[in-house]
Amino acid sequence: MTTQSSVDGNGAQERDTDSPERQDSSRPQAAASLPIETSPTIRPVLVWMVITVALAAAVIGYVSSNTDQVGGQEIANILVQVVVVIALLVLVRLAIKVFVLTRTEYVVDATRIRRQYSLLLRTWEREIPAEMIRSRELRQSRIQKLLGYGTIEINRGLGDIRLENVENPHDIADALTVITRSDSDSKL
Amino acid sequence: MGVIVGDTVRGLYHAVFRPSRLVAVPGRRTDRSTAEVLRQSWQLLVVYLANLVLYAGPLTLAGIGISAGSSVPNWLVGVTGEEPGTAALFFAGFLQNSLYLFGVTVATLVGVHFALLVTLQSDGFFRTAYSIVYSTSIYLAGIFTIVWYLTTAGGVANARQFVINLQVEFIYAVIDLLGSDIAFQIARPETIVPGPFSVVGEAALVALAVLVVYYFYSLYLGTRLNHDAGRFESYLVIVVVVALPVLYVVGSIVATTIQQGSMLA
Repeated sequence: MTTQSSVDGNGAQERDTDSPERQDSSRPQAAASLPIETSPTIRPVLVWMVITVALAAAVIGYVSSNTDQVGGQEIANILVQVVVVIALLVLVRLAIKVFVLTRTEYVVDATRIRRQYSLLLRTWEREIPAEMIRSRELRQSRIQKLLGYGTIEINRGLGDIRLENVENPHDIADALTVITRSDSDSKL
Repeated sequence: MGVIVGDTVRGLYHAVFRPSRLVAVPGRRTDRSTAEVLRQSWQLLVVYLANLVLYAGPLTLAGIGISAGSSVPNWLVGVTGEEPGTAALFFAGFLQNSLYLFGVTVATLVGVHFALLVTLQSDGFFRTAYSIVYSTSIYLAGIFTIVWYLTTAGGVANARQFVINLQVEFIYAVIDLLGSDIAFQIARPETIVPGPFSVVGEAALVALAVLVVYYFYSLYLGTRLNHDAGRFESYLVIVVVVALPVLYVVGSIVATTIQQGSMLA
């Protein structure tokens, strides 16, 4: 078993191991109840897959039934194939994302934030010590908002960690605030 | 060797499935030192030149451009001489083949950055150059390669004529839009699709269209990610890039009209 580890200038540490080990995950607990161990949901990605299929079907249906408007049968055939190719590429990309997300785990405790995923018998791990947190950004797309999920980006552009598609994102964001404050207070 | 193969596979994966990884400048820091910016610019130049060689090299080796028996353009005679050797012919062909891609890259870079400056979204020229270098040297080079293939390969006559007809029709559409009575050297095609496409021709056209979609999407992503621009500004950048050939045709029509006017006078 090999382990590689690196620390960037902002304290984020990355580890890459051959171990497929994973800890059990659970949904986040109360806002500032630490540690929080959670896994991302794949529901928003599944919704995007459905949207992709529906959009592709709608465009193909329109083009197939209005061949004269798109310039004839030959051009319609080309357009249909283009839509099929692009839809397939998007679906493969989303399927890879589902595959990675189902193997990802986030841990937030009083001393660090960690993101870890295992793929093909290797494990990637990235963590930021609490004292190195400089910023956090909570974002919710329309689909995430509807489903009650969100993405939290910590130290964006500074060797960041993305906690993607997490349930109760506001609770986790609050927990991060608590960690940052308590760390500042302890320094004072 | 393993690193090169790994990087190539990763690059291909990103080109197909994660264009955002390809066009986004790593890190969002804007307070880089001059030395760091120079180092990154140098790396970018190397990437661009390497991709240019990967694009123009095979084309030249395939005999596209200037080959034995063909005449050397006047602007290259000074470099290659009237009766150039094989190496000089190859070099001249390489230059000729590189110029198309290089010219479009420069035009796109200027157009995109101008749009970003006008909309006050620019986070620096380097960030624009980064996304344009990757967009053009991968997707645009792919587009040009397929066009070259259609131009030279056998069994794709209808697909080739279709691409030519599209371009001629585009030029006539701009002439009509300007209400100009200028005569273009190629007659307006009676029909855009000359006949049924062969399987290979159809596949080439599909690949061409997919690459065009990727090219515009990568420009959109580059603007969004590297300059933190909104959707409107990113769409505007695409509109500017689409408008570049229109402007080129308009400029040619205006120049021809002025030339004809001065000849009549």
